[in-house]
Amino acid sequence: MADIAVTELSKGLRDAISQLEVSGKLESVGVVTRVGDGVAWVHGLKDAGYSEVLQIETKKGVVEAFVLNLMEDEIGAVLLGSDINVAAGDSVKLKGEVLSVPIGKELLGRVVNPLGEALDGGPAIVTKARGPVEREAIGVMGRKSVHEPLMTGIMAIDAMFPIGRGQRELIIGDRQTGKTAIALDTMINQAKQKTGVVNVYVAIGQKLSKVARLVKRLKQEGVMDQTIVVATGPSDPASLLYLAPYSGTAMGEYFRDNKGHALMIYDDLTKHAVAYRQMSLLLRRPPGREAFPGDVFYLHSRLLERSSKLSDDLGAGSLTALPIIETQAGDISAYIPTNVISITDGQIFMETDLFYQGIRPAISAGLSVSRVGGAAQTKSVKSVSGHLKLGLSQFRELASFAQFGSDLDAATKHQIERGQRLTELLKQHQYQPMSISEQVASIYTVSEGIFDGVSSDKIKDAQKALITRLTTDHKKEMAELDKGMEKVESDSDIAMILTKVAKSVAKGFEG
Amino acid sequence: MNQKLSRRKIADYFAEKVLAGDNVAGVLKEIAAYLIDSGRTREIELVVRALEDSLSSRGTVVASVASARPLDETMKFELATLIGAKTVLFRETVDPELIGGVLIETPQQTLDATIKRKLTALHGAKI
Repeated sequence: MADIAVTELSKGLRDAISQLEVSGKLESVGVVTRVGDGVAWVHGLKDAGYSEVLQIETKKGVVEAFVLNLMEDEIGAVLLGSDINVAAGDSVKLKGEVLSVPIGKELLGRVVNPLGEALDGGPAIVTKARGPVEREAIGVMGRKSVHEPLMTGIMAIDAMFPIGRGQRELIIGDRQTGKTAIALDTMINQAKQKTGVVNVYVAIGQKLSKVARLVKRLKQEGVMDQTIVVATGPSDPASLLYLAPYSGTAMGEYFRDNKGHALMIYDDLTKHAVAYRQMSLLLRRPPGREAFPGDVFYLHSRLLERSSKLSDDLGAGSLTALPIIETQAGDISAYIPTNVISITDGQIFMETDLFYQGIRPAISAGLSVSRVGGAAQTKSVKSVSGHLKLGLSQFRELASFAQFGSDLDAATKHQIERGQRLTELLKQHQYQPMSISEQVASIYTVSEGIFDGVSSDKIKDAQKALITRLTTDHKKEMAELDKGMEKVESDSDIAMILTKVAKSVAKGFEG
Repeated sequence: MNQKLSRRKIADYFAEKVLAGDNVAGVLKEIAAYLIDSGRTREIELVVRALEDSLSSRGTVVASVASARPLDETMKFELATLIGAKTVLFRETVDPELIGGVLIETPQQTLDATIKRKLTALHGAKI
């Protein structure tokens, strides 16, 4: 039998007794008048504040709720658990605090629900600190403009639509076009390139099988150690779906505020808006366009405003956000997509047609944009990818003309062929993010025309051979290039090495 | 009168009239007529709560007190001081199951200082 420390025993008993002592003061109490669909209406509690937590004492224990409607006669509260045990007549007390979640390094590697409770079967999560779920965004003086890159490892994005730390870049597209894949690759790249960026993946009403698959993949790739997954499934109450991105952000902000860098992925905000619509309608708030409530813009703007690059005084941490929006039949002019497009600093638009043509990632070069990332792009990538976007757009235009006839002049033909090679080059398999040096070498050789003799169906093989050769023969130069500080210009040493190796590789694939 | 009156407004009207010395039954009749007229008779329970709330915020508190033994006058005086209102009207019940202590319920507040609650809490804490 284990020794029982008598001192601790008496302390424990004393603590228990002190908890049972009656304060001798009357406590404010309300009563549930109506309940249903995850919403409870409470009479009384005139001291309740907006977003304050209520404790409903049911016959089978306490159920928590939070206040969303403060009205003349009653309070509308959204339950954080099941409404099965809550009945009219149950007494309700104020918890005296707004919603908060555990925050800290202890959460890394864990799968939690929006209240910070473990979902992965691991031990209960105990953290030193807690953070409020709803928090005001950092003000003007606390911020700095975005200037450090957040490499996604996806060539098409890093070259054409670079993302900076602290930026909010929307990933938008129809179902099954590879939106989550981009987010996942970006998370994997943070581990592969050892950037130290912490990933927070927020699954909002996603199928739990999908979340399980994702977590398994993250573990397999060794990324889970620097990742927090906040998961909600389709069967969770709408209140949890609504809270998920806010509590995920609270967890990410801990790293930002402690001089670290965090990457938030909200998958996806369409479902978040739908969950909020459900809650609002049940709370009898007036419906607006598409039955969404009037404050659905504020719902997302206050969430995404919390992403920021902090000033040096505040530790220069950052919180980058990659929200995901699912469109219906490519319609980006629907209500929620336009809202989120206007809030974010750019979007990556995924096209179904491209996806089925085999161009994956199916990023649309015309509709995608990154508004602030240019300032954060690494020098070396910037120096080689300057004309990439323009070249691709011109190629698309020419290619559509070329469909009508085969009599093309040599220059046009040449441009089309190079475009085809570029398109082929930008194809990238999932779970294979590329380092800066790999990206720079690939883009440089194709855009400088060194691979002009290689047919487009052999481009990927040639690229692979080039990278293998460079990493074995020129390890030092490639490591230097990975730092991204060096410009690749035609007379620089690195450009000469790239040209030399590429030329010899190209010979093997010509003809 | 088409506009729906909130329960709070109804209750405030009631409290003012009653405290001004009007006949309680008469004012209640008026309110009952209004509720029937506007088809809100289902809200009776809530209206009663609102009436008690309104009275208590004006210094007249109707307190339900449950105890294991009947309360004496000294106890009642002490309870009235604890509740801290100008006038406290007691609605007493005796429930031996409470073992000891009192359970006070006013319209907006409550205090459970019964032995039964302590024992239940102790049982819940499993010490």
